[in-house]
Formats: sequence, C-alpha cells, structure tokens
Amino acid sequence: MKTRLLRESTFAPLLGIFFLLPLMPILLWAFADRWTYPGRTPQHWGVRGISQFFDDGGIGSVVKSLLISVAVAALAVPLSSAAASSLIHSKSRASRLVEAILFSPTVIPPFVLVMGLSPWVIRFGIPPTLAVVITLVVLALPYSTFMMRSAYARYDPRWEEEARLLGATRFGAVVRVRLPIMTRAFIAAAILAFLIGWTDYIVTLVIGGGQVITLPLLAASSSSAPGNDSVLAVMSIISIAIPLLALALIRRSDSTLKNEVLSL
Amino acid sequence: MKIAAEVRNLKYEYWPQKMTNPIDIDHLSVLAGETLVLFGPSGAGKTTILRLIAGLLTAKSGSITVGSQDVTGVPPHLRNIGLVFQEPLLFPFNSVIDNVGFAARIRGESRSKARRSALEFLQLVGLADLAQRDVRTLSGGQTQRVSLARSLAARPVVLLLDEPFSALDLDTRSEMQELLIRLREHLRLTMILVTHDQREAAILADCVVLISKGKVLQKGKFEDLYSKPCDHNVHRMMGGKNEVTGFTREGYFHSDLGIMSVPPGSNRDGPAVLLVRQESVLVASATPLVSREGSFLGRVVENRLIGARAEIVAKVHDTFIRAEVAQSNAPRVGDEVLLHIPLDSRWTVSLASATKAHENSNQSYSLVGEAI
Repeated sequence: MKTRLLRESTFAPLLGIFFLLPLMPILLWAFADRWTYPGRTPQHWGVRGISQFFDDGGIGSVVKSLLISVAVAALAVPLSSAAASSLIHSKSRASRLVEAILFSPTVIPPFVLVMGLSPWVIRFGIPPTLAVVITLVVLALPYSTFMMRSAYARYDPRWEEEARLLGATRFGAVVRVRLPIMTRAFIAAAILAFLIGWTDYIVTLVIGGGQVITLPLLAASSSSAPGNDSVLAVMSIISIAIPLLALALIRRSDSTLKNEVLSL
Repeated sequence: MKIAAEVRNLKYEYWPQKMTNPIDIDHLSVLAGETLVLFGPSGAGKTTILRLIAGLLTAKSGSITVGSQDVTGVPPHLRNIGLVFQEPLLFPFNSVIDNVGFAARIRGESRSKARRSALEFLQLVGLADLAQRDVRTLSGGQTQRVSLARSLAARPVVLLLDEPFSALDLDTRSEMQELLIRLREHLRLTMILVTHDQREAAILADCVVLISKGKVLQKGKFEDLYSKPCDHNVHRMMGGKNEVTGFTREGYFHSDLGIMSVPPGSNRDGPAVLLVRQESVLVASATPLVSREGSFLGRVVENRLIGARAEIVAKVHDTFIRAEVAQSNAPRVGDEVLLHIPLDSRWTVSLASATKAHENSNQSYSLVGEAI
C-alpha cells in the first residue's frame, strides 16, 4: 500500500509535467503582446491575441466546429452501435463484407477519400456543412465501431430477450437494458467521433470548399501569416479546453445519466 | 384439467439449413399446474422449441396457444410467458430487488410499489434479506433464485425453464429442484422445463417429452419412457444399456439367452430386441443354482465402479449383459454369476424399429453380440 502511494505520488507530478510542459509556452503566448527572442518570458503582457481572435471570427468558427463535431458524434454513435452489434451477433457471411467496407477508411488515406468525394459533393449540390458532416461520420465510423465492438462482445443480447419476456417492447428493451449496460461504450464512441470532427482539417478544407470555417481551418490560416502567435495560442487553448471540458462534464454526469435512464 | 399451453404442427428451419435438423412437432401440450419436461440429448432442439413458444423465434408454420389465446405471431412481451435461461442474465445495473421488480416497473407501477411486490417474490425464493445487494456479488444458486423470482414476478401463464440448474453444483441443484416443487404447489405454476438430467426429469415431470433431432420420439410419464421405451433410441437416451436381439412368438422372447416370457404390451410376434435396464438385472452367486425362468449363468468380464455402485459386465454365451449392483456385493472379474431379468423389467420392441433407430442414431452403441 505504501509503495503504491509512493509510486503514485512520484509519477502523478511527473506525468503532469510531461503533459503541461509543452502547453506552458502556449499559455504564456496567449497573454503576450510581445515576446521576442531571447526573452524567457514575454516582454509585454496583454490580451491582443484574445481580441484578435474575436475580430477574426473565432467565435463563429468555434460554434461551427462544435456543431459539426456534435453532429458527427450524434450520427456515428447509433450507426456504429448498429454496425458493431450486427458484426458481433450476425452469423451471416455478408457481415465480413460489411466489416471490410466499414473499416476501409482506416487503410485509405483521408485525402484520397476526400478528393474522390469532392466532385460528387459539387455535382450533386450537397450543402457543404452537411457534406463535411457525412464525410467525417464515414471517417469516424471505423474507430467508433471498433470501440463499440469490444463492448458488444461482452454484451449478451439475451438480456434484451429477458426484458421483452418481462413485458418490455423491443424499443423499451433497448432503452431499459442496452442503454444502461452500454452507456460507457456509447460515451467513449461519442467522444472519439467528436474528436475526429473537432480536430479535422483536410475534410473541412476540401469538402467544405472554403465555405465551412472551423477552428482548425482558422488556426491554419492564421499560422500562415507572421505575427499571429498570440491568436494561435488562444485558438490552441480553446481547441484543448473544449474536449477536456466535455470529458469532465461527461465524467461528472455519468452516474446521473445512468440513474436518469434507469428511472425511465 | 385446462390446457395452459399447446403447440400444433410447429415447424422451424435453422439457417443454414444443413447444419441442424429442423424442428417438426405435431403436438405438445401442458395442463395448467403441471410440469412438462422436454428431455433429450444436446442439439435435439429443446431450447429452440422453448424459444419458439416464447416468441423469440418465429416458426415457419404451426400454431402456439397460451391459455385460451392463440399467440402465434404475437410479440414476446404480449405472450405472458416467463423464461428462465441457463445463465441467470440478471441486469447488472440493478440491485436484486430492482431486478425482481423489473416487470412491475414495465407495467408502469411506481418504484416503491414495484419493490414491495418484488420483496414478496424474494421471500418466496428465500432471498428477502439480500434485496438490496448488488447482483454481481451473489453466488450461482442465489442468482438463479433471483432470476426465478424475477420471472415469477411477471406472473406468467406458463414458465419456461431452459436447463436452469445445469451450471449449479449437485447440492445447490437439489435445493433448487425442491424450491421449484414448493413454488409449483404454492403458486399452481405451469412449467415447461428443458433438461438432460434424468433425475431432474423424474423429480419434476408430470409428463416427459423425449426430443431427438427436432422431433418427438415419445411422450408420457417418466416411468413409461424409462421402462417401456417405444424404440431402441429412447431406451438408449434414457440410459438403458442392455439390448438383446432375437424374436418374439406367442408372448415369448427367443434369443441367445434362452426363452423367456415377455409382459403384455411388448412387441408383437416377429424379429425383436429385448431392452433391459442394467439396474433391473439381478445378480447372484452361481451357487446354489436356482433355475428360474429369465435366469441364466454368465461370467463376469468387467467390473467398474460408478459412485457407490458397481457396474458389471457378464458374458452369457455370446451376449454381454450389464448390471448395476451394490459395490459391496459386486462379484469380481472371472466369477461365475447367476443373472435374472424380472418379468416386469423385460420389454421388447420390433427389430425393424431398433435397426431404424440404430441407423438414425448419432452415437455408436455396440449391439449385443459385438465386442463391448
């Protein structure tokens, strides 16, 4: 017990330093109006970066990124749940073909997929934001399905059969049995899909055709011009903070969510 | 008595079809308050029949009636049927009491009311003191009791049990069987139980249906299947080991063992097989010799311990006869013994049915006269 405590008390700060050290300059840059070499700290502190972020339409890009990421997660979770369930429980030979198609985005580089899809999006007149969301869902599916598949491997479908024999409808059995048992897997898959949407650059750039401005796109655009270190630092902090905040909220509400589902 | 559940012309085909024999049941029924046992080897289709009755599988054709309602095509949640699986399948996110109160909650009862009614069922299975426990902390016997209570709390017309005690140790299994008998009397339960445990079938069954390869081989009281099997296969499935080929004429069976009378109801005249249960064969020391009808001298060629008893194999002319005797009285290999088959333990079936059954059998049994 003592050894474990000692190990934890030693490794926790080391781990913290490992992750925080690269973030320290970003944090300093976010509040620096001037920081030139060889100064170890900024010469002038200020909020120029923050105001420039607002001026450049940063809030709009954050909202756009959030909407796209949430939409990707919301679509990828039920789709990957259905896919994983059928991959695990189906005895059909066709499930291998489905598996191959489903997991193909992991072996095909995203830019190939994107370049191939782009002409179709233009020719069929699909709204750019919708096209981005659909493409990102396709890219997220292999990962979220992989995550759900391991959860479904431990999930016995007879739980739902038992619920049905106890009076639950097919949908009721899913809500009252599958959902509480699979909550964590659903959350993990949703986070993964959200992150794929949140961090994407290439899909939004090509499929969005410059009309969909998300945070990574804005950051890339800012990084191409000199003197934008402060605003870039602000964008970097936001891009880290949002997923961390989401994780914290989910962790906190995990048990509450479970209880709410059970009381349905 | 009123029929609680009935199955007619039930047909079901597996996919892919070649893998398993299809289900083809002409008629099955269970009376209210009685227990029907589906008995048979693994892969016979017993569980599939239960799943068809429960509505978890859809039959190709046929009808299923529960109470007075035709439930063919009715979804499982409207059939009023309970099913206890081999694995208890308790909901891991619920406590013991909430597992049992699940059906009441589905019916729309408040949590407190559902818990009150669940507690009554937990008392019935003797687990009221564990009501608040996390189901993951229960023992195998306890989880199966909770599972039973959960199914009973839904107040089903018919309770289906799919080998519910097969994963339990012998003592716990006996306790559960006794519990089931008590519950059956207390609640006037109608049950269809799948098992391949003969003892369980004998204890619980009002009627036994022997299933093999998706078809009913024989149905009736356990004693009938045990001592009056309709054919060779039923005899083997019920654990019988002695088969003697010969022929019957005017109430007498002629074979390598000699001539012996057979009880009325046995096979009519013609080629036949005498089926004798090993525990019915009486074994005595060869001296003093008492010549009786149905007795013959043999020499012990094998002696094997089976728990508290011993199984001996004696050679009579070219025929091998197995007998179960008390371990303390078991003759040794090489001893000459007098074997006697009592009249009420002799049962003959036609050789044609025996040969057919033998051809159909998946298992290879040695016929009499062949090496054991």
